[in-house]
Formats: sequence, C-alpha cells, structure tokens
Amino acid sequence: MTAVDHDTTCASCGAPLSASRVEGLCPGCLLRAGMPQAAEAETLARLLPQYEIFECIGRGGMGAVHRARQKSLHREVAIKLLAQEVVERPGFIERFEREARALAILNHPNIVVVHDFGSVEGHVYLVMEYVDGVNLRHLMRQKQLTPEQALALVPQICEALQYAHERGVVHRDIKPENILLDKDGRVKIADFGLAKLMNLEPDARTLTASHQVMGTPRYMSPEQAEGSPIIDHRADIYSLGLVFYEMLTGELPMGRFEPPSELVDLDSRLDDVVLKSLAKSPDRRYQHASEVKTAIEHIDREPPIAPDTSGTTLEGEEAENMLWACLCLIMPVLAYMGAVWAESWWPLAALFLPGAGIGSYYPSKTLDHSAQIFVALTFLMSMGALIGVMWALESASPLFALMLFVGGLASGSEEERERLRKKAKEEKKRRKQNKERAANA
Amino acid sequence: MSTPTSSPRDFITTRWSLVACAGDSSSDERHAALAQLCKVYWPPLYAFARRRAANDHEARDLVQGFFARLLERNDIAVAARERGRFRAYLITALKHHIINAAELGRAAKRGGGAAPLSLDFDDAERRIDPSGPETPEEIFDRQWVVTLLDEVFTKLRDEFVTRGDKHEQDAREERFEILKPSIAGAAPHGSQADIAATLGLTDGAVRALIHRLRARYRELLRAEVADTVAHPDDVDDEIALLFAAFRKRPRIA
Repeated sequence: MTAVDHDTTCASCGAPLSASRVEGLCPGCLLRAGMPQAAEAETLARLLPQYEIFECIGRGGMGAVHRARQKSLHREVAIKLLAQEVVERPGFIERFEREARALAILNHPNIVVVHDFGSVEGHVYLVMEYVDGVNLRHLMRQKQLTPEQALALVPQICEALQYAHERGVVHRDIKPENILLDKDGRVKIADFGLAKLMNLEPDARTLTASHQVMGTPRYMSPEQAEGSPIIDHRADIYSLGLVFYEMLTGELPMGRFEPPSELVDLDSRLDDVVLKSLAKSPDRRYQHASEVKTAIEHIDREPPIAPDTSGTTLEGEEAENMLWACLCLIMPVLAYMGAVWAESWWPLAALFLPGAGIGSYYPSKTLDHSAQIFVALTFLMSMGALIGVMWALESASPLFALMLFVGGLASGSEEERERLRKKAKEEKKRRKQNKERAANA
Repeated sequence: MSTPTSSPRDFITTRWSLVACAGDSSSDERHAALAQLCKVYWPPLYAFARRRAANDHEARDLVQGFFARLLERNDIAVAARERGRFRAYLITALKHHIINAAELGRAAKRGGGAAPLSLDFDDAERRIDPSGPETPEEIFDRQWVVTLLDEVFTKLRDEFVTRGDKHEQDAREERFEILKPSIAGAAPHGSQADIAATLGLTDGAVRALIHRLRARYRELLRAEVADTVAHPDDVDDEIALLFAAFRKRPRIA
C-alpha cells in the first residue's frame, strides 16, 4: 500500500513525497492507478485472489503478463491474462487451452514451466514460472550480445526445441521476445502459445484447417507464411535460423541478404549452419534441432582457419606447408655449400633442384606470413647456388643445370598447382552456393 | 457512483478541445472553457513563476498578468491547436510572458488592470518549496500532477459521499477515508480483512467496493486528463508523461 504517513518517500514507488501528496497519498502511484495496465492488474487481483498481483512485465497481441506471488506457496509466478478482444474470437479459448496443455507436458530446464491455467468470468489466464531476467530482444537492443554469446545460447535453444519436438510439440512462434534469459544466463523458452500437438492431439489440426496464419510474421517460416496446412518442427528450425542470423548480425535477413560472415567478423563456417537452417524447403533444412546444435559445437571445437589472402582456403595443411618450406630452405643451402667446397658438382647441383622447384610454386600457395618469408629466401638461395655452379664449371654444363632447374620447377609444381586450383574452385563454388542460398531463402 | 463520464464520443465537448475548436464553437463558449481551465490549473503556473520571480508578490503579479493577457487574446484557438496539450501551451506562454514582463516593467507583470481570476495564492504558497532542488519546469510538472489529482479526488469524494441524509453522508465520508488508500495501489496481504472488520463488511464486499472505487477513480482521472489534451488518443501518453515527470528525481544541488 502507498505510504500515507510521515515518510518523505513513497514506500511503494520510492518517489519523494514532500509537499506533493494528494489526500496523503503518493501522486505517482495515483497516476499509475489511472493507466490501463492498472485496470488489468485489478481485474486479475479480483479474479485470482489466491495470488498477489504486482506489475505488468510484458504485453503482446495475446494479452498482458503480470508478475505475481502465489500466496499459499510463497512463490513468484507470471500470470498471463488474455486480452478480451482476443478471447472473444471464435476458437481462441480452445487454442489457449491447447497452449497450456502443450506446455504442461513439457518439463525441461530451458522451457518455461506452466503451473496452472483456466478461465474465470470469461477471462482466460495462464500461470507460469516467473523468469527473473531479460528476453533476447532486450539484449539485442542493448547491443549486449556478442557472436560468442550467441553461439553459447543457440545450443540451449536447440536442446529445448529438440526436447519439445520429440514430444510432438512445435513452438511455431520462435522469436527473440519468447527467448528469455534468467540471471544465470540460462535460456528459457516461453509461449509455446501457437504450438500444435502433432501426434498427441490429432484433432487440433482442425484449428488450422482454415489455413489461419499463426506466428509472428517476421519470424515465420515460408510454409507458415504461405498458410500451409502442414507445419512441422522444421518451421521452428527456420525461425531459429532467423533468430540466429539476427543475433550474429543485428539484423534480420530480408530479400537478398548476405551470409553473416560478410557482415560481421565471423567464422565463415557458421554461414553454412545459418543458411542451411534458412533453406526455403523444409527438406533442405536441418531435420532436427539437435543437428544445429551439433554443427555449432563442431565449429566451436575446431579452430578457425587462417585468413586466405589469395581467396582460397586450405584446411589442415599449415603444418605440412611449414615442413616443406623448411626443406626448401635447407636443401639449397647444402647445395650451395657443396658447390663451393666439393669437387664433384653434379650430384650436389642436383640436390637443390627439388628445393628450387618446390620453392617456385609456394609463393602462390596459401601460407602464413612467416612461411612466405621462408619461401622467398629459398628462392634467392637456389638462384645463388645455380650461379655458383655455373661459375665453377665454366662450360656448357651450366646450361644443362639450368634446364634441370626449369624442368624441376615446372614438373615439381604442376601437380600441386592443379590440386590448389581445384581446391580454390571448390571453395569459390561453395561461397557462390551460400550466396545463392541466402538470396533464395 | 453513477455520474456519466467523458467518452471518446463526446470528447469534442471537453474543455481544451473546445478552446482549440475555433470553427465549431462561439467565442463566448471558448472563453468560458479557457477561464474554467485556468481556474483549475493556475497553481503549477504560480509554482513556476515563484521560482522565476524575486518574491511571492511579483509571482502573483506575473500570474494575474498572464491570465489577463491570455483571456484577452483572440488567437488562442490557433495557438491551442498548434501546441496540442494545454499543459505544454500554458508553460510556454507563461515563459514568454515572463520575458516580456521583464522588458516592460511591473505594469506589464500585473497585466495593466484588475485581476481577472480570484485565486488563493496563500494556499498555493504553502504547497510549494521555493528553495527546493527542482528546476522551475520540474516544479511546474509536479504541481500540475497534484492539481490534477486534487481535482479528481474532489469529484470522486463528492460522488461517493453526496448521497442520503446528513447522517448517511457522514458515514460515507468515513468509509471513503478508510477505502481511499486502496485507490493508489494494491493493498498488502491482510489489510483488506482489516478494512472489512472496521467497516463491518465481508471480505468479498470490501473487495467489490474497492474495485468499484478504483474503476470510478480511473474514469474520472482519464476524463480530467482528456480535458487538457487535443485528442482522446493522447490520454494514455499524457498520463505516462506525467508519471515520468513525477518520478523524475530532483537534482541535488
């Protein structure tokens, strides 16, 4: 109750009261009592005297959610009171009861628990677990979500969805507002409000027989937007893909859109995960939420690939490259030293040829900076060795040595070059496909 | 509790929209509506002027001079439409008046003639703290809220109490005083039972009584706010703005 005594601040809202009380009451609380939300809270308090009703914590098309306390158990709950204009729509109460029943069979740490539901005097309510935290929309608005955090959250969402899907429950309205985070950072998915009980309640299909579009348009799967009568759990995977894209880039993919890694500094392998989730055809998406989780965890475990300056990416060859570069460096050194001190030039001159040959193509290969320096040195040394041999022999033999060098250069590199060309081509193709998928999604 | 309230349908007859509605109403009607509004909402203007003026006498002159000019002006309807809200219009107009008065001297502060409205400045002076940490604008907003709510409570009390003979009215007055705190917020656990015991009613009856009282209070508050805005859709916004203004903590000097 509002402070009316001699306090200088209101016990309810904390506003200073000196010289500004009205009838001894707090003007701030009196103004609040005039707001539409106050009328709802009051209605709830009257309908559900077993709960102490506090403030409104959320409002949507379906109605308002109030924080409350269950007097008998001394526990905090969230009570959703459906808007009357919504309740009065034909079939809506049935749909609401279905939501409650769908939620009631779900018991998972990443899903908001439903405690009770019912209707009193034509008002329909749902009593749920109170999640003390924020929703994903709030986090994204505050720019508090990094791609790393997004990668930590998505597997939790996947777990909750997988759990529900295995029990025949499709959320059908996955969006940032429905993804809550408690104070420990744990995901809690709320509002399985448009869920369709697949195998457990086949009659429920009649509710959507008129192809009524349910869900939030911006986060709807193509099949939902088209009003398809067959909506399954893969619709949630599409919506999850949209939320994931938005978490990573801060924007929703609309029309022709770029893969996430084109917009923000990201591991490009995540493009595959997001874009596969966003495939227009459900058959081309991940078939289970758990697959999305596995894909993300795989990327998380494997280290990202070094940036590719030539536009190609060579996986797992860094160590091999380094070894070859070292060999390229050592062999010509040996050849050069041999040319100076030994009397028999030919066997030694031949030694540098493989090194020179390999060295000649390494600059075109994707290497990190230090390896490229090795390769450049290799080249210089090889040339030095060749000049040394030519000077020592003073005959036609150096011409032969030069031919061997050129031959080694050409033959030694051709096979590898072909392999690299092939890889680059494949990578280019993959990127092109990703872009096309993004454009078509 | 059966007095009809303003609804969106008859909103056009509320006071500020009447002032702003130049084409549909006679000049006399508009003048009367404006005078009525000024009579209710002068305390926030006085609170503002009190902060700007050197002393209470100067503040009184400023307010009376302001009303004298305001009620004389013929362009009020156009200005009212442009300003949207009565509250915003008043404070802007008063600021201009104070600047003009500073340039023209004391006669301009008084408006050059007799006081157009009979106002209880002594009472207003008691309700403000001329040396508080708030800015003049913050004082204006807070005083506006208090004035608005005073008006609402006067009407609510009248409706609740004025029924039956003197004895019954006294009993209802007492009941109103006991129920009044429940209007501002949800009663804590157990307090409704105390009220029921005091009034000799059942818990359910008290709950219903409080519900009706709150609902009626809300209707009256919204009607009062509607009187000061140009469009019924602005009522929720105006209440939210007033709430924010009231909750704003004064800066500590």
